[in-house]
Amino acid sequence: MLSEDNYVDGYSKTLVAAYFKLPRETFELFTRSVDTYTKLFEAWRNSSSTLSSGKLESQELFKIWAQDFQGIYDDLFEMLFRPMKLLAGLQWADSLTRMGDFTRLSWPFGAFGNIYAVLKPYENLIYLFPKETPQLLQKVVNSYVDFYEAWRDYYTGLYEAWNKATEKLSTQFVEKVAESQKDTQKTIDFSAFFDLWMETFSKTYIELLSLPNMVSVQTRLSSSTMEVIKNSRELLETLMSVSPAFPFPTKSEMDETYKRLHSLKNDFEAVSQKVSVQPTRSDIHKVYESIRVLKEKVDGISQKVSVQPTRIELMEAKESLRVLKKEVDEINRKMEAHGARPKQAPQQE
Amino acid sequence: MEDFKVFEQFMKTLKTLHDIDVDVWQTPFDEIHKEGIFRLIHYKPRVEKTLPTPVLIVYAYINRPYILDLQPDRSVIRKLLDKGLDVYMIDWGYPKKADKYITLEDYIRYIDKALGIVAKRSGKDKITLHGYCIGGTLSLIFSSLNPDKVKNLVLQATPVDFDAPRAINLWAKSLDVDKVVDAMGNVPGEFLNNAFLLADPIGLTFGKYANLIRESKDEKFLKTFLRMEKWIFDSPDVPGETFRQYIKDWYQKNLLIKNQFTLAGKKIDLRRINMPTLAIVADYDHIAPPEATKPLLKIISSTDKIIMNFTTGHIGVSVGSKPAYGLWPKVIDWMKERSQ
Repeated sequence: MLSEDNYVDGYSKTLVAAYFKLPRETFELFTRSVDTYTKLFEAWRNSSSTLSSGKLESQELFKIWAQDFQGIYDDLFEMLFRPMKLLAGLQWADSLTRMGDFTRLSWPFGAFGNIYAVLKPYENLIYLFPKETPQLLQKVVNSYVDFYEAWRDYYTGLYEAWNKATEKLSTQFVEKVAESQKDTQKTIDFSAFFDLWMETFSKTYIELLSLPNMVSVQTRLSSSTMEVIKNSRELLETLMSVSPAFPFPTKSEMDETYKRLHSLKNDFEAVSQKVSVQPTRSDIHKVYESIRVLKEKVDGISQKVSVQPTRIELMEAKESLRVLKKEVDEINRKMEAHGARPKQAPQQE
Repeated sequence: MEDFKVFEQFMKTLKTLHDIDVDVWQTPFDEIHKEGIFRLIHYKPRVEKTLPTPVLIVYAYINRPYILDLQPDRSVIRKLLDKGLDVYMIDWGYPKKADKYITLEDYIRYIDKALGIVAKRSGKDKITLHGYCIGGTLSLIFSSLNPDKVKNLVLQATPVDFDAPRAINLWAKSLDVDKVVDAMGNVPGEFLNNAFLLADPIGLTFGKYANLIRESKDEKFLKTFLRMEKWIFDSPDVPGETFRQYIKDWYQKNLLIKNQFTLAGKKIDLRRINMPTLAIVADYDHIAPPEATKPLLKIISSTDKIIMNFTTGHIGVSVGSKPAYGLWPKVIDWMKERSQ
């Protein structure tokens, strides 16, 4: 028989090993489900002991379960809420919201005053920042306030539904108990309770998340989240780019390169089509081969810039793209001189 | 059940899930073409002589195509191969940051390229195009532009009319898609996963896993479960410009079913689809419900067209174990009759 230490050790090893092997989401959701399942079992047990003491009212049951189910709500929605919670932060989000409300009302002087108060310990650094910094910071704060309000409304909507579902469950459970007492062989065992709980709560949330007002809150939440991300990034890039030591290109610089890459790939595609309809000749074969080599170079650049390049690497990539663009344009000119046209798509009637 | 028994059952199941080795996408294939993140694969035939008309499968750019070949006893691919069909498939890969500007036009262009390769290899200038989910929508668009290249069209759980009142449609319609793409670039797979989980948050984040604790499941069940989990959470990002385009034009404006969708300046007219068409719909599909596909059959000009109903969900059509899964022999018979 294993000692308690060996037992615990064995379980720990299994947990760690499973964490690394299973999909991350599967591991989290499965391990959370144990806690939730256990809490539901305890809730059922608490209600059973109340049942045995006499007549049960649904309101009474609701009070017991509202408390018992409290821990379950956060457990269930933890993974889905995590991105919002990370963005919302902890206590400082409240301070930021209050500061945001004040600065919004007193822009620009109040805003500058408040921002100055926050940044006072770093006042020497302020004079290094670009002049647009306060406006960018204001944008971040504004979008943060919008996000926090939307998140609060979304969370409230889901939590209210939770309470409604608990109320509904209480009523249904009392009805089922009353029904079962007509037939002495039937009892409300945990399995039946669990099925009833699943049906009630699942249906409540499926319906809730399709309601127009909830969809509207969800839209506000996703929009404001995106605004926070975009504005925060713009502020950070503005601040970081002041330093000559900052090695990384901005998102806009990266996007511009990605666009050129994509456009160049399309150019290669277009010229390949022109070449492919040409009658086979050794010079055409050479052109085809050079296109293939150039395309490989483009793919190589694409791979390099997909993993965070430094500024220098990005500049080198851009220069390579410029040269490749010249080469594909040259091939295109030669093909057109040969009278080459790409295959036409079927005409629309 | 006492607390300790629950914990014991949990640990026992967790250990089994860890110990079992699962592989997906097991049916052997060769990669025969690659372009950037896109590739074309050819499944090794399982009969001596395959039918003349090859099949090109086009899956969605959301999630991975191996749902059609999850495991040997739940594989649409194997079913097709065992009945003598010559099967190719496009794999849309995992978009990276540099692929942000890939558009729907690029996907259609690659279908054309892949089809050309398949046609050349098979010696057939027309093939069977089999699209699943958004892959079906892409196949539809391609077929309307190139009816001369498609011999038969199979649409599996394919949304065409995006006005069906389902949660996913409602959310997509209200999404500020420009803000999403401008903030994130490519739309992360996790973002889409969360949306799918929200279709039934209690069932999909708790109920499914609680069932593993409620009663012991055998290794066979757990292997299938684990393969499904691997597939569900193996979600590629969607290129930003593709996301912008298809959410706006399909979900929000519903242009496709109205014959108002344009691609690279060309209008997509579904009436140009004149080849034999089979639409597979699933009654409990919350992503492409039957009403999202059925209107199509009134619009296309094909005279040989049919709908086959599966009593299952969007994924169940491919991997379900219920008797409804038995509808596949009828689907394959339909394809075989038109593959001679």
